[in-house]
Amino acid sequence: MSFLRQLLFPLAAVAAAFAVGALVVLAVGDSPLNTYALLIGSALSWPDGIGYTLFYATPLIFTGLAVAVAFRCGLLNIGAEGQLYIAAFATAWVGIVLAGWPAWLLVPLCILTALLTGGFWAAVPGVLKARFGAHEVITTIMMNFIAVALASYFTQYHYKPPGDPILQTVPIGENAHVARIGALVPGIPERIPLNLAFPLALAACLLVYLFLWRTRWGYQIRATGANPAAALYGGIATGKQIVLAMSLSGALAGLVAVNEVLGYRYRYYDSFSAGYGFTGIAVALLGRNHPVGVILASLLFGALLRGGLFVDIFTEHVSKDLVMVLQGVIILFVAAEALFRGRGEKRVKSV
Amino acid sequence: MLELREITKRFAGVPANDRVNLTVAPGTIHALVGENGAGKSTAMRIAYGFYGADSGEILVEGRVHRFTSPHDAIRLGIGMVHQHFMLVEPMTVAENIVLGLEPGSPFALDLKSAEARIRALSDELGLAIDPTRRIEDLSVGQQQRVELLKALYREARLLILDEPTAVLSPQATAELFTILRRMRAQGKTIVIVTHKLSEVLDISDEVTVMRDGRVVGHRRTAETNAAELAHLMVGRDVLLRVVKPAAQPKAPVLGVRGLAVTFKGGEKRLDGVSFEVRAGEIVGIAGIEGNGQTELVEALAGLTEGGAVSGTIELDGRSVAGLSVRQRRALGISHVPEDRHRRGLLLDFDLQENAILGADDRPPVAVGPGRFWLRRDEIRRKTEKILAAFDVRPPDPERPARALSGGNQQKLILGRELDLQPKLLLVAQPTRGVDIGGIEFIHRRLVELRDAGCALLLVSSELEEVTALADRLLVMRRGRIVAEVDPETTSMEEIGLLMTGGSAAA
Amino acid sequence: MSRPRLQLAGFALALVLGLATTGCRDLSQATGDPGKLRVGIVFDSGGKDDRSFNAAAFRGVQQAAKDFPIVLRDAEPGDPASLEPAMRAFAEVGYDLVIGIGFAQTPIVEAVAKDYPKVNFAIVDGVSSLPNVASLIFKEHEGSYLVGMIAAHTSKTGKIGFVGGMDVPLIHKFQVGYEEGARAVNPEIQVIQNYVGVTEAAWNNPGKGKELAVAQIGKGADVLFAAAGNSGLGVFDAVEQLDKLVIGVDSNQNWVKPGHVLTSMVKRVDNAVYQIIGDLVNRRFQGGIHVYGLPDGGIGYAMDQYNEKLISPLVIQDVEAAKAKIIRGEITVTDAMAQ
Repeated sequence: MSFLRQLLFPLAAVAAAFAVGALVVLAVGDSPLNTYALLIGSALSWPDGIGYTLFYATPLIFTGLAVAVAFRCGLLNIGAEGQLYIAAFATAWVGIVLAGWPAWLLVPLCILTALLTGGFWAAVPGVLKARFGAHEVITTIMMNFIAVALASYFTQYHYKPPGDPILQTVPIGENAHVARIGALVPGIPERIPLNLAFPLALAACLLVYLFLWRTRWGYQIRATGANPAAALYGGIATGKQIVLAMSLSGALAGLVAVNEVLGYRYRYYDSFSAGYGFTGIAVALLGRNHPVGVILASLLFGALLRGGLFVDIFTEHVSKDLVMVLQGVIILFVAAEALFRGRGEKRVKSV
Repeated sequence: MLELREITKRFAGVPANDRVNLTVAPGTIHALVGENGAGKSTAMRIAYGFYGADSGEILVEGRVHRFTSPHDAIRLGIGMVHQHFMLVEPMTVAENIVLGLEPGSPFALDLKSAEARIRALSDELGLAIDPTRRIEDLSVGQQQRVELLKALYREARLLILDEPTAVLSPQATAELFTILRRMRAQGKTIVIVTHKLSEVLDISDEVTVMRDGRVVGHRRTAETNAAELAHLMVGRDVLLRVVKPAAQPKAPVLGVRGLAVTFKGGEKRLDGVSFEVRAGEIVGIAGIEGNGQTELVEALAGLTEGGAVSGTIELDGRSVAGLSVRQRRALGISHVPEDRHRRGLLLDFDLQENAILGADDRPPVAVGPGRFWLRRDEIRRKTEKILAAFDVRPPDPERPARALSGGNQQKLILGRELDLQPKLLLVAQPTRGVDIGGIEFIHRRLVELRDAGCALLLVSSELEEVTALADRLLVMRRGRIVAEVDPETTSMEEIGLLMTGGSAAA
Repeated sequence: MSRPRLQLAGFALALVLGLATTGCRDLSQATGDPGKLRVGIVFDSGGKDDRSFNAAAFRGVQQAAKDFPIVLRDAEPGDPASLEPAMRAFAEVGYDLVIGIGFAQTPIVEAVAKDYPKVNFAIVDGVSSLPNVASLIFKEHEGSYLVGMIAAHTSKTGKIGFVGGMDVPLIHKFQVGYEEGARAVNPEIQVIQNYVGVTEAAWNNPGKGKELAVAQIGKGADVLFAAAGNSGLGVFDAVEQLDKLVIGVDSNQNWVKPGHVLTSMVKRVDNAVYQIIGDLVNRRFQGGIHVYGLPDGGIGYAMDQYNEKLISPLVIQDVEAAKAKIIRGEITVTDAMAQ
């Protein structure tokens, strides 16, 4: 009941976005009905549409969760992008250097690398915040630049196949590969890059939910985010929670590497992320920083990415910027709702 | 002078004012009283044009007016002094007063003429305000007088004062009332919003009582009494006095010696404070707010931020000065903080998660290795126990704390802290913003706690409250304890003088 | 949830499902008339308006769409990570020919072509051995040799410049040919060379292109060869401001800054893609390597009304003689990529 009510506003935001999008499509001279049929049809076609939608949703679930966990602690992690880049590179590095190790050891090791590297990259801003009060928005943005540049540098000068015109590392060992769903489920072609990272993402949602709402650490993180002064009063070491929440957030962002490196490209590919870390902020916002909401929002955004490609290519005038318009309007509405609620509370309080 | 007719105002569908009728006779002081949330402030903000009413009429001097903003009210001679002053601190009195209607041309501000007029107004009422001084250099009482001047400068003939005494010492309150009487003598009309019955009886000519958004009574002050007003406010008979047997103090629980809190630049907000609290007694701290009481409680609770704590703090003879908040709590120190919204509650969390704040690591709530897991059933059980024992209404564990009234929030906090069976309870402003019914309940529980052998340190800016509850009373001024008095035998006036340092000015 | 809200939600759900089913049924229809031959082209990150390499390809497919009864759709992914999904989208809905522009797409075309053996592919500037992929490659080194000669003839300072896009073997091919041509005219000539970058972004950074050009001019170069896609437009800006000369690339860029463009090393990508589409229409499509060079006009230098006053007939005579020798095999220009 209350769950449905939670859904109502995001759904209204999505509907409003599609209405605004229809006007944009009309304005550029195409048919909204055809455009949306193409958008939704290509996102839900079987098997490629569904497969790609889920594939695109996977990294967004990770980054959306990452942003949500940090947000629950009152932190805005703008650095998921950098965290996933550095984690992807480190994961690829382990997959390259230890290529000969057996799969049962190498795959977990690679996943652990993704977690730890992403976690470490986010822990740095966490410590800076807890220790010196440095604002995490600034520091995480800075860390993004460092991560991207570092990964590019090592790729270009140390791990690029000689003569390769593309900025990517040599492939990781086959034992580090994570299986594609197509290889496990009959009827789904293996060309679809959807891989075991997707069920991993769903598992991560469940674990994050249990952690935040069923454990003491999760409670302390949320208390710190909800009211740091009250958390201190309750004996919660808020600085520790900030570092913990940031590390966890970064580790989740780092798991994008499982999807992209171990399950899709089988190497580190420079600028592979289409802004997953930043879209994760929108995903968390739309999903109300709740794991279930994050899954739903990721599926929506994944479908938009997939459908947007088709709209871009196969319509006369509409470009994939339509997807940006849709995302933008959705976020605008969700943000406006937060604003409304804020005002409402203020007024009632001053009665 | 002012009349509200059938005023109704809803917020998000909930009526804050329900067909409110109020008539203020010219040249009188009219008190508007009621519990928190009774709709007093809403009614006055409507009269000031701050809110629009959903229905009903506002009459000023017999004529119906529509207010779209406070400008309309000001034009008709209505002024308002808010509970939180709206002054620009680094600017002078005169600059603040002329803000919005600067004299002179747009390019040359003519402050001189304004200052002269302000001085004249001030002298007329004996306010003793120098228009060239900066706001930040003035005391709270003086700032309030600047607010009064601001309204008078705009030629207000009707003044609305929202909880004007909340921030004042007893002396400053007395002075304010003198000024208000003088203004009445000059023909001004005054509406004073308050929940303190003694003040109503002291200053007002007429009184209107509100409850749950409705006007439930209107009396001539001379023809009513505190008990009747309290009954109207709460809707039932209320015990206004604290009844308590004589204290039976036992062994000292809290020992404080030479406690000081030093902030950057050597500013000592607490200096050389020494006292002890025994099991089975309530030690009260009286003082005008901002004289070190907050720093004292925070230092004892381990919550001092940005300052260095020195001196001895002992619990049962064992030093706790270096311990963390959590460690102190584990030793039996509970704390009801002065600001429950900022410190005492997680407003967006439900009552269950608020009920375990500060106790989330204690079994049976926390289980498993490192007490990692929280048991929902145990949390719920604990919450329901607290809600029942402390009569928190509505007793719905899944409601957010924000949805509770101030009194129920405070009962939840008190219940949570007492559930830990503390040896020492630090309790600051226990009844701030709590309605009369809730005050009665909280006072009774604090006395019961004392009689059960707990040591209580009580800080309150309500002088009546500390004198009524405390067995011993310490008076604080400028970070020091300046006197210890027996609350039974010392008069309010004497204590007030100690609080202000003997001078009459606040 | 109240009843009207429930109805609203139901309505929204029905709308989505309705759109989805129509979408599913008509996905193939919605992506272009399946009754015709359907051709898709995926530009590289420079985009089709780079007035150079991609623009040439775009001209070719547009002409083909005019001359043949085909459906043509293009994709401009903008970032390298989106190249593959775009190419797969064409293959997935059953396009007859998918053309990838630029060497960066080679591994992508190979991967997609393996998954869709019934779809024909073409890759410009890349080589694949798959039977359903046509590799369209050019002897850029030979054309670069000729413009190198023109540069050396024209330079008054004895210093000429080369601004490459991404630092990769394909562009080294331009650079080496250019240097050899210049040395053939003036063995003492000094060639200053720079690359915009090492990533795909190097094709799309006119600011950096301009910076490099200004620096080279500062060192004395007075003729600059820009083989840098979109970034080359920065070089055009620089020579216009500092009154020097630039040599364009891929498309005929003589018109871009008239009077400042000495000539353009044209690479007739347009002809190549036009021909491959023509082959498809005439059922003659063949995979394998298709080489374009001087004899077939696939490579050349551009002469038109914009630059006829900039190059003397004597120079043209000399260059034409060299061109004939290269075609006959009497001059061998180093192919930097073959090494």
